[in-house]
Amino acid sequence: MKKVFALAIFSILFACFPVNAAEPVDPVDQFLLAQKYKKGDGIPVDMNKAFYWYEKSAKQGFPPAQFETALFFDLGKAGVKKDYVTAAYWYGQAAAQGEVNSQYNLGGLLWEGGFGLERDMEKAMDWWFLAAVQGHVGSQHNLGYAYAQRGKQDPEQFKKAYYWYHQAADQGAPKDQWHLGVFCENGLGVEKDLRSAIYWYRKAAAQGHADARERLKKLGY
Amino acid sequence: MKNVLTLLLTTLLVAVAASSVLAGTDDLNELMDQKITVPGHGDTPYSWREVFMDITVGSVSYALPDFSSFALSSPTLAKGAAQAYFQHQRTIAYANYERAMENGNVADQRYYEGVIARLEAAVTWVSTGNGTELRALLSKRDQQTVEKEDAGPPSTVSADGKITATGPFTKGVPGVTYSDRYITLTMGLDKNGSPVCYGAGYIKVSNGNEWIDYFFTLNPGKPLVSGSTSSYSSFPSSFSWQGNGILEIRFGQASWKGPLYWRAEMKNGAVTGYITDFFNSLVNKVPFDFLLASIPEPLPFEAHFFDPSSGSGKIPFLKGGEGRS
Repeated sequence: MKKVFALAIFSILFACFPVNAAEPVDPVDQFLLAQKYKKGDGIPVDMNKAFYWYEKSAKQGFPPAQFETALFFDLGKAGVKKDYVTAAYWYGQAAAQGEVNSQYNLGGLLWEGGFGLERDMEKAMDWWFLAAVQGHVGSQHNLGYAYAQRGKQDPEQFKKAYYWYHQAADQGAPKDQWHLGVFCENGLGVEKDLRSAIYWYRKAAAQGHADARERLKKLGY
Repeated sequence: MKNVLTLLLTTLLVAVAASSVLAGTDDLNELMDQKITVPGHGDTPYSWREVFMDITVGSVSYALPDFSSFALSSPTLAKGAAQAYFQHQRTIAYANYERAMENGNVADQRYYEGVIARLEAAVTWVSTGNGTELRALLSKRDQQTVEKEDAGPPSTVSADGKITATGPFTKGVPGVTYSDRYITLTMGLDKNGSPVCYGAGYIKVSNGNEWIDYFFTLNPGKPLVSGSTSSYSSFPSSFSWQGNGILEIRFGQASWKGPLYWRAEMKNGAVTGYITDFFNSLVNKVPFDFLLASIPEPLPFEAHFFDPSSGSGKIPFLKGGEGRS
């Protein structure tokens, strides 16, 4: 009888205070568990649990988890309410530690604004700049685009647009190679040079860029 | 008991990590929030990013103070960030310059010659506080103001009549890795119509986490042909100079300086030459043999500029430029 009573008490305690030896404490382990829930790696896909573990890891300062957590708020995934302010917070935490995708996405949020977040195009460019100097092609393109927009008011800005489009083009980005062709053909931010324009149009066309192919045809190449 | 200790240690580590994260966030945000008022540009505040970009592409001329007055409220972070940025972008620019040479893209070569010269001068500005060269380069922005004869002047010719030529040191020491090795030469006519040439060179030797910086200052040279008093109204297509200068070697926190001698010959759109006579004066100054053994003597170079010699045979200038006095 005593044994049965003890067993009952023990079971009740176990039910109230489960000892779950599988629950990770380390932020990297938490992140990896979240990845498993996200991808369905050996366990059923469960985005709610993925978010739970990403957030736990993010709160411990692990940049990849901070990035993934931000994505949930950025895109409104798994029932998480779209909230650019919280997304920007988590991107910012990771971005400050040099996480380049967070720098890129944070720049994107600040460029657009919305969902509670105030637009700040200067800060957006600052974050893209930090990612661009690390070689992030998307950020290089975005900076090129941002400066090109400014160039319509102040032609000096086309020089900066040319610089960043060039960095992206050198990494093989066809749309930036196309932009360089346009800049060289029209003397935007750089000396007018048809030979260089054709050089860049050809590089873009070789990767299937339709506008570049069209322009080369019109130029007789 | 063991579990309690583990829990306490984990909590402590998390707290330390979190404080480090917050400190990093604060420093970077502080840097990015800084706005700089640049002398000569009114009260419009500039972000540090814009100043970096302006220097890189040469879009604005600044009356640059030394870096200490430019420095942001996080001076160590700002200086380190600036140095890293300019050096890194210079490495990229030089790689693009070499690629442009391989592809025969002359316009891109000229473009990156300007970028390299500005970034190199910016490194000097941040490192030493001396913005003289950078200010001079930013004052010579790309301007289409030179008189047009046939096809017009090359873009490396500035409005006040100077040419910039950039290129590599063409010889190294076997087994030594160079992450930077270039020279930039400026040529023009002084007020007497005499062709002048001066410049700066830089070599960086990398070895894991250590590196050696070699800064070559080429003082304005004299015509190589002694007694030559030719006066020119436009820059000749070929000329030779010789001169002296300074080599500064920096390793760790220390640096050593010694004199050098240089020669340069300009023709066919290129300036070839060499730097020499620095070993003997420095060999007893530097504490380690490898500091001088890592660069050859003589040290040859080859710099290029646009040369419309297929046209008039001369490089047209607005008027005689002024070399350094």
